[in-house]
Amino acid sequence: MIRGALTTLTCSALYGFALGSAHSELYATRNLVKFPLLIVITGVVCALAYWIVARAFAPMLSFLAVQRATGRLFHDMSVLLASLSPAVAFLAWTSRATDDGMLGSYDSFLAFNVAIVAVAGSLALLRQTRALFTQYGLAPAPAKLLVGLWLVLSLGVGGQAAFVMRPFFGFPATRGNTPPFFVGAEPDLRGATNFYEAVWQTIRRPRLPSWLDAGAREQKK
Amino acid sequence: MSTPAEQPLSNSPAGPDVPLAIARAPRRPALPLDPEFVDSALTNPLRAIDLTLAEADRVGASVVAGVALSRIAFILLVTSLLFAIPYGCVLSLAGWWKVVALTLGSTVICLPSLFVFSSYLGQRMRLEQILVLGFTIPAVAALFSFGFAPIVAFLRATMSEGDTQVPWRSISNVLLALSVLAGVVQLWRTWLAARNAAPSNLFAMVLLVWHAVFLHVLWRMGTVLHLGG
Repeated sequence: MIRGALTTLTCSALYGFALGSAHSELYATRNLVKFPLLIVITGVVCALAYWIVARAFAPMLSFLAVQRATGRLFHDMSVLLASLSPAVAFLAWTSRATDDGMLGSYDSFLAFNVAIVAVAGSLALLRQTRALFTQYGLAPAPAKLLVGLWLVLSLGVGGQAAFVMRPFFGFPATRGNTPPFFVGAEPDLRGATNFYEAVWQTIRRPRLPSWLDAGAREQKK
Repeated sequence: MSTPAEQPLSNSPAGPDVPLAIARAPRRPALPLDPEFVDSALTNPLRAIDLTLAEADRVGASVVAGVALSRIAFILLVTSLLFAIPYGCVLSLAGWWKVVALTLGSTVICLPSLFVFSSYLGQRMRLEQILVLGFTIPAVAALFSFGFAPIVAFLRATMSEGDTQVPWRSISNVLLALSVLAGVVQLWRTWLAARNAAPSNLFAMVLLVWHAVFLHVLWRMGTVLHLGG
């Protein structure tokens, strides 16, 4: 179990480093701590909810078994993401070398990372569902529902934790600044003060600040 | 790739190592809860959690057989009371009782109508049977709120109270709604196992209509308690 936890933390640190490289060495090195911390906070905050949800669908799972199963979800996801770290680092370094110092390829880099996190999360989800099925004899439907609910809980809490712990990688325009280690509830560029508001604004897509919006339009031309 | 459950027991490529427990056996009717288990749940919170969340079939069978019903109802009542307090404390220390009032209060207000209407329509359910079914909602909601309490505490600590489109109280309301929904689902799981307790399907209809009354009272209770912020 300890070995698995260490692997999770190391792999998530690797992925975090690659991600932060898109901005600067400062962000990359900070991510070595921030990413493992993000996983630990999400796991700890959700631990009780994971177990209560599991009682309703899989009573044979003890509190420790639930924590092991959710830990394996994070483990698989971290290992998959770490395997993509060289690709992420390559994209980060090349976009950093060629960006315009304003918005750069921030949007496409963000979209790529959202996609690989989604793919890694889904694969980890499928594997854990099968593991619950084979190890505990849990029927496929409740196993899928249970692991899906764990993932939703992790996403809701992990998203807010990530928002508080940002920046993980920022706009090229902020390069050279030394922001606090965690920005916390400070408004982001679109004015969101928490993760859920940021998601809401991603759907509504309000305009970026004029100085950044002008740079983005210039880049599109 | 086929799962072990889809493979025939004979000629299984996985050989005899495939655990037989994985193969789907025809479902046997659940047995009523052992009275000793029910007694132990009075003093052991983990067993009370199991009784509330993990034994819907057996609680339903107990409702049919009339085994230890008053003790089960008492355990559900105590679970509703105690496990909702942490979430209430997260919302505000002075208002620690508000989640209890929301879930248990609304249920207690509405339970007489369920009993009287079902009796009036010839569904001879005993008061204990109605209490066990009715207290399932607040008990399960309390346990889910107990699980969500650390999440809401984390959100409250990390989200600003000021001008925001999605305040933490909105997320908290969604989580409370999910807790009550889980209670309603558990009530129906229990009822499906206990449907032989009523002489006809009319009780299910009464229960369905009663949900409308209960949800309306719950909504009003939430407004009165200013749980929306």
